[in-house]
Amino acid sequence: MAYSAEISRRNPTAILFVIDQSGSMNDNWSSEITKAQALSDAINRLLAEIVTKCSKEDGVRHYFDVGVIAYGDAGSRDALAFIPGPLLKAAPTIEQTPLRVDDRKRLVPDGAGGVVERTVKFPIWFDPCASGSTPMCSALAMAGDAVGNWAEQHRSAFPPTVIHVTDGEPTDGDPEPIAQMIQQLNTDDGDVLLFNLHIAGLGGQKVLFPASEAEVPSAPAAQKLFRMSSKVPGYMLECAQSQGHSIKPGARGYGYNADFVETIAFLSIGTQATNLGR
Amino acid sequence: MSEPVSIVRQEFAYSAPKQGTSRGQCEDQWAVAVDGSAAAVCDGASDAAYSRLWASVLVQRFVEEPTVDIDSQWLQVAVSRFERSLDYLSMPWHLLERTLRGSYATLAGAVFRNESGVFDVVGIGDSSIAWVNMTDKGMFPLQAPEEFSDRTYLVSTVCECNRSMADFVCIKRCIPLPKGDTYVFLMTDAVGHWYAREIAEGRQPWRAFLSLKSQAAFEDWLADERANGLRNDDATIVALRATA
Repeated sequence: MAYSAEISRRNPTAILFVIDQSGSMNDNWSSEITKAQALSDAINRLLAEIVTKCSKEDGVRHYFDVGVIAYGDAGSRDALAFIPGPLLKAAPTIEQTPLRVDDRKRLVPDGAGGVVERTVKFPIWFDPCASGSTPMCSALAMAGDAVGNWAEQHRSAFPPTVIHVTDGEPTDGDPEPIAQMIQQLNTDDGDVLLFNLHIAGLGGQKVLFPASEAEVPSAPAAQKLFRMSSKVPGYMLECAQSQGHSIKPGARGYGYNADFVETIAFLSIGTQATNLGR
Repeated sequence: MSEPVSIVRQEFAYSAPKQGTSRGQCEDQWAVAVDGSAAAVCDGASDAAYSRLWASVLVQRFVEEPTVDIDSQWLQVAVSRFERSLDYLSMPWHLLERTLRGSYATLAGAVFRNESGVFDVVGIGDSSIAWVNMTDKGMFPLQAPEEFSDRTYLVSTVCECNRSMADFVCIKRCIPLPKGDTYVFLMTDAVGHWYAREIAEGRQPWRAFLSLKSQAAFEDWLADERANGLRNDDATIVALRATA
């Protein structure tokens, strides 16, 4: 059965984010922040979430290889290039190598039935950036190369998940054939999953996990990104339903104008290792 | 016709980690009361931090105050012990975050009521209790192999996560202990699944258990059964003999 491989240290999976940093990401996401800022906050939270998911009392376990490709004026690049190693890096390495560390406050049990405030170090790996054109095709091709090579070396693994976040249309061609090529890559456990999050900015209808083009805004870019998205596998459908999402069989991993709380929930489904052995 | 129980003895308790991991990483825990009045197994969830500790606290709590009527007050004592065992102030950010989201474990427990010649069982999640004697055999709370899956309800250290626990606590009371020996087996899910499958196929899996004379024999048996499809997971069997 596809998508049933256990995710473990002996058999990790891969998650690759592909992030739009074109000039239009300087537009407002809300009245307070730009799309670029909202996106960098989300990526930092997601990387922290992945590290947290791997954290045990004996250390951070290697359940995931994780990468971030950013594309914009400078072309397509490894956004975590300051961390040594290949594009897809082991979660313990990511935990060890933040760009910088911020202080945050948390309430923790005091051991006597109450709570006490403590300062917690919170890592930052990704800063906002936005300029220039939208070389989406080149970025997706880079993603395809990375997950294709990874899948060849990890045949028994749960297949890689590629999560593409963009607000616009590509300036370097048609990305749909490249998206199809990515979804034809596979491990013995199933095809690579490609999810697309379309950030449209202020206002507008929100869509998450649509099952047909009729549920997607009629804008050509939205329709194209929907077609570029993988069908949500059965186990993820169960996860999404348990998180309160209304999601039907046949739904695709596509979100339009979802706010970032919803976006995090959406992306977390991809990173939720529900089939980790207990 | 039930008879008063004269003795409950621990026949054996064997536990082994998932293949490829160390004994210290095994998150199954078990306990048997010194007087034989209660026993429990817990399977800590890998997908959480400190699940081995939580499983250990739960089984100890169970044999110290045996009851099948597990409620929020009973659990709160265990949660407080768990929290007192941890140094939240020195954890790295990710471990703190994960720990605050809760540790999780199954629980299967048996309480022997010597004066009545019966025993009660409680199950939360997919750890199992099976029993067999001259007149009866049974398994609880899951019975059919297809009832075992990758998802199950677990007891959490976060009280809010236990709110719907009443819907998931399975209790069976007054299981008779007829004259002679009744064997009671407490198992975590990989072994429980195997046991249910053997029963479904008309075999007598307790005979295999009772032939295990040492931890080494258990590990050999486990290796053979894993090669035949028993799920690679932490595995625990506790065997008791109640003689009426």
